[in-house]
Amino acid sequence: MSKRIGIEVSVAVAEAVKLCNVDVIAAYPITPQTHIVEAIADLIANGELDAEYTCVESEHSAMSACLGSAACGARTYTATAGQGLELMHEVVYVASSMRLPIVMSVANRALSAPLSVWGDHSDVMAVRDTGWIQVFCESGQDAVDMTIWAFKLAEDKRVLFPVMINLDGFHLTHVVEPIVMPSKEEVDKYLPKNSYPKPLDPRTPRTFGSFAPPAIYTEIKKSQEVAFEGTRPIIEESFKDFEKHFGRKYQAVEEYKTEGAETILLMMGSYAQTASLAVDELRAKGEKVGLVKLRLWRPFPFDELRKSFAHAKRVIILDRSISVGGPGGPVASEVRAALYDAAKRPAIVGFIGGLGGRDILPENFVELIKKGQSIAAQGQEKFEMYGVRE
Amino acid sequence: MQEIRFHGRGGQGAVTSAEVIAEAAIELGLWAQSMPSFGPERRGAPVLAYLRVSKEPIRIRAEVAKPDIVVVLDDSLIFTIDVASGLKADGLLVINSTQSEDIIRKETGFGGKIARIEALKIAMECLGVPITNTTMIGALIKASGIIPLEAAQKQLSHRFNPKLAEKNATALKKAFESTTIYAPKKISAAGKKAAAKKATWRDILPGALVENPGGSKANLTGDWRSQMPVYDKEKCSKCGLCYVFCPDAAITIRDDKYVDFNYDYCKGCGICAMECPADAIAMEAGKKKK
Repeated sequence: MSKRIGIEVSVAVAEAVKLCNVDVIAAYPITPQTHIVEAIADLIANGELDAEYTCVESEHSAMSACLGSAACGARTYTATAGQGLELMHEVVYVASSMRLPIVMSVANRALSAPLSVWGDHSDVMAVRDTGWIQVFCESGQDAVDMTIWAFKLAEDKRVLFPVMINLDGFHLTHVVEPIVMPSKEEVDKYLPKNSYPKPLDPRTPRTFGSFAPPAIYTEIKKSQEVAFEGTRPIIEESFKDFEKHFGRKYQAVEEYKTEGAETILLMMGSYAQTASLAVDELRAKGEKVGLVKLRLWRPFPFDELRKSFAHAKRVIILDRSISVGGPGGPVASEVRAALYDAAKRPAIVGFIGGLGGRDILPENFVELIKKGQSIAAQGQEKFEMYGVRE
Repeated sequence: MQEIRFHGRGGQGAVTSAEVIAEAAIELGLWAQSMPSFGPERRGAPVLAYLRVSKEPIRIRAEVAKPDIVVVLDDSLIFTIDVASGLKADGLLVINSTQSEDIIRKETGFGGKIARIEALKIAMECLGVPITNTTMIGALIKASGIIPLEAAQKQLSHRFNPKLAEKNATALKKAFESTTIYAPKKISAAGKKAAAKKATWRDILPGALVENPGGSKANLTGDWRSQMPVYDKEKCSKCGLCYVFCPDAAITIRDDKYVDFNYDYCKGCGICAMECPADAIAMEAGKKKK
């Protein structure tokens, strides 16, 4: 039976990895991911998890080792954060292009310079286009559930893409909170054995990651894109399957008090919980305000978002990363692109905030919503940085 | 504008040919562009180079797909690839070959004007190495008049030291004088190589996996050879160094410790001859033992 316990989220993620009976972990410790990989190392040392733990010399090697492991058909996990994800960058692409079902947790962290170990979404935005299925977590429970869900989805023969689980550094990773831990029996019943269809095997030699001249590269990229697009209905199905087994419902786009909402606040990650308090406060005053939480970042849920915003007059977006010299935050750009073709389109106002671990309190969210409404009322659609001292 | 495609093997100088003519044309005040094909080119492998010469500025930045002229530096290529692909019917084929006109037409499926030159012979006589690029420029100029012969000779003096430039200029002139021109001729389409069916994105396996590894076994690289090692058993000291250094494992040691050469795979790189301390291996021009 599953059990409700108070546990640090990083340790709970490590426990989830254990429950999934992972074969190979190759990781390099980096704040704020460290507690996850330390806890996994403990589980292996204690004999609780029978897995190969490869101590690598860098994140670049971590992902490289994961490629080989996954290609052999081993269930493969890694975790990283911030600069570690950037150092891993080129190999992150390879995992998707070679269709290897690796699961990776990213303890989201700001990028240097200046050096910041604290949380924001800059790290993951740099790997936005790498072809990984990417989800964001709002709570410790999400982080545990998404870990278990990710293995089943990644290894589904109709999918065979790596999955990245984003959990905010410190605001999630280092927090002790109540989490319902599924039992071994429940996970065993949910998650079948990994059987990668065509693994590396000296008895049947195959070539993985070959080179491609101009005559074939475009065809290979097209086949990857079509296969990635093809995961959309399977992701939807997988959320339903998870709900059937564990009773907790997840969706690509999740809504909070959006009924009749004229103003919608949209964001990804754990700050959405704080934001929901601001929505409660404004709703109590009779204001038609709602919250939309983007769980699935890749493949981007265009249709679901259009549906969520069908009746909204204005959408206010909080990005926790900045595209310097670009059109605002990456989430706001994406939403703008999603709504460009819509017959009736809300005004879109973007804010960039919560950078480098800066907190946003419930009253700040109230202020942010008010500010967004006033910008939209002036007929403007722009972005600005929120909470910056003038 | 005249568009030219060079077919050669790595090391024969196809790229240099294109560059020399381009530089000469530019010096004459014309517009020109030379471009190698970018890829895993290596000694002996089929390679391509492209050249455009024009009276107007050239704005196309792509490979030459529909050439006015095709230059083939190694006639073994006509048996394996479609060198005349896209070549205009009223175009020109310049080929280094000892084959007859009929065989060239049959293998290339080309009925237009052909210029044939025995470039290897001239190169060996004038330069002492089987590098046919300057020789082929001579034949190309004879058949097309794309630039004056003197302009090409001048470029050679820019590119090579005086001694080598002179040798190359001699080869160029000799080739110019001994090129045979064949007028266009009606031929049956039967010899035309069918274009290979190209894979679509639907044919790609997940992860671009290659199911049946090709390996080197199926790839008979022996036809890449421009020179071949000739073994003098009398001089051989049975040291086995040639076996150690052969990059293609094309040398095997027999029970009696002498060696055998596998000409199916030997690319004629000459490393064995270079390493042999007993001078028991000599490199001889040509693909086959004379």
